[in-house]
Amino acid sequence: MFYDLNVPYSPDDPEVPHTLNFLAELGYTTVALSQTINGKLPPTLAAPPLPTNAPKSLQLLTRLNLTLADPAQNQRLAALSQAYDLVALRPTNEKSLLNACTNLECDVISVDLSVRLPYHFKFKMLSAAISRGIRIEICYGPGITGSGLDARRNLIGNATSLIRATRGRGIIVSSEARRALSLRAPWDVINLACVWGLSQERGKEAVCEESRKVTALAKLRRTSWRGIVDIVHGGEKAKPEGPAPKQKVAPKTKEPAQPETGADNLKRKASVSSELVPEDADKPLSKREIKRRAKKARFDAKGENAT
Amino acid sequence: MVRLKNRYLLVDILYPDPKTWPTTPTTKPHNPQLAIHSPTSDALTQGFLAKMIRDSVAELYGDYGIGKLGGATAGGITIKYLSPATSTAIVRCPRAAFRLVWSALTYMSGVPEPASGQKRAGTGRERGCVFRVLRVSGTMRKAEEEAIRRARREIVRVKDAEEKGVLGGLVGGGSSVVDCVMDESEDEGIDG
Repeated sequence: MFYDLNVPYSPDDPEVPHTLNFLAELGYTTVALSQTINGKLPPTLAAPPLPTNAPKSLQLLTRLNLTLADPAQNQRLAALSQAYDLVALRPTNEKSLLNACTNLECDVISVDLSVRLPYHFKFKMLSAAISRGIRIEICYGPGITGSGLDARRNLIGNATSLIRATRGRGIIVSSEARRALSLRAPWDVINLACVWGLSQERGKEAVCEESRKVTALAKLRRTSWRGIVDIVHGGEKAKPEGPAPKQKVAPKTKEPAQPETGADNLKRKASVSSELVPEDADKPLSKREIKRRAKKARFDAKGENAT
Repeated sequence: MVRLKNRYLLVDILYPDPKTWPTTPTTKPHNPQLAIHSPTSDALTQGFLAKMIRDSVAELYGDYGIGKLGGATAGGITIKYLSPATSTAIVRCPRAAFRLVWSALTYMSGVPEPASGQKRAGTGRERGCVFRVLRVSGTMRKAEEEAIRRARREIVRVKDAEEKGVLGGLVGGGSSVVDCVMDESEDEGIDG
């Protein structure tokens, strides 16, 4: 029910099990372990292995924080999003923030609010991001402990102006806590959001529903076709059991239906692939069948070129 | 009739940092639930906790915050109950300022721990902790009932964990705080 989508993580940190235990104790249910990359990306990217001794009540996700300075940089975001459950962008100037809001494919925009920002948040820019399904993140961690008076003041000021600029919509709150000591219980976070200018309901949404939407949307983007159509169950299991012998006997009667399914194979990839399975039965092919397959292969190749 | 409205915050103190956990006489590894809820030192008295909260409000909100609490001398904050053994406290504050007090508690990050030999609070070093508000309620009785209910549930949970072994105890870890902290309307409806 409660989400903390930004917990800095490295696999060899001895503090990690304590932090996760404490998160579970505070009542969080989903935690995203994040890895931060500055500047150039390493050639091979994979999410670090998840800790094995985590409490069972926690659902763990992987997340990448990508610092964005130059909008011209090509960041291979599509490849990145396959390796991680969540991809967050951290723009350092107004130009890259605008770019992240309007163009780049990501799940979360997380501006570092604990420093003094030389620009104002604009509603137009942020609402463009929110309408694309990207959420804006406030990290309360740097303001709570350790980072000094200035960080706290800047965080409060920036969070207030961010809430004003977005009119309270599309905001998530997460910790970015380097130690377990700067974590806070969900209801304390909601109260903080209240003090910063969100209403209580919106504050609760920022820790619960909005964060859930982020994870659900991110999952949809990765598994489904353009984030719209997803295959929940392709029905592959039922095939080989019941009608398997029947199909072996009478493939010829079924053949005339084939070109029809081939015609819309752009849309229904799952069902086509599952129908291809019974075809490779080991019996001699007739000439007619060979021709038909060749035609189908050509058609497929053309279809792939078109997409 | 004019009545002064208060809020009662049920607070508990958690110790997430393993360095501050009390050392066990045996070599058995810590049960993390038990260690997070470990007892507070006796150096934390009711008066000192009130002073800590007032200082934190003053640091965050300045004179405005102190004024809203009811002035520096009268001090609208009273600690109604403090149990160092279970690390639980009930804090009374004016209703107008309960969010100030709550956020001040959120920003606090340590309790005094007397160095060896010294007895007075505030002289030793700080022990890192997290103040968690469990319940905001309009009457003291409801806060008390909630404290008892939670203590009972904690005991059951820890006992379960002991039976299942250390690993099994982690299963029910998240269920304790999921329910709602803020249901004032219910409280006022019953007792008002």
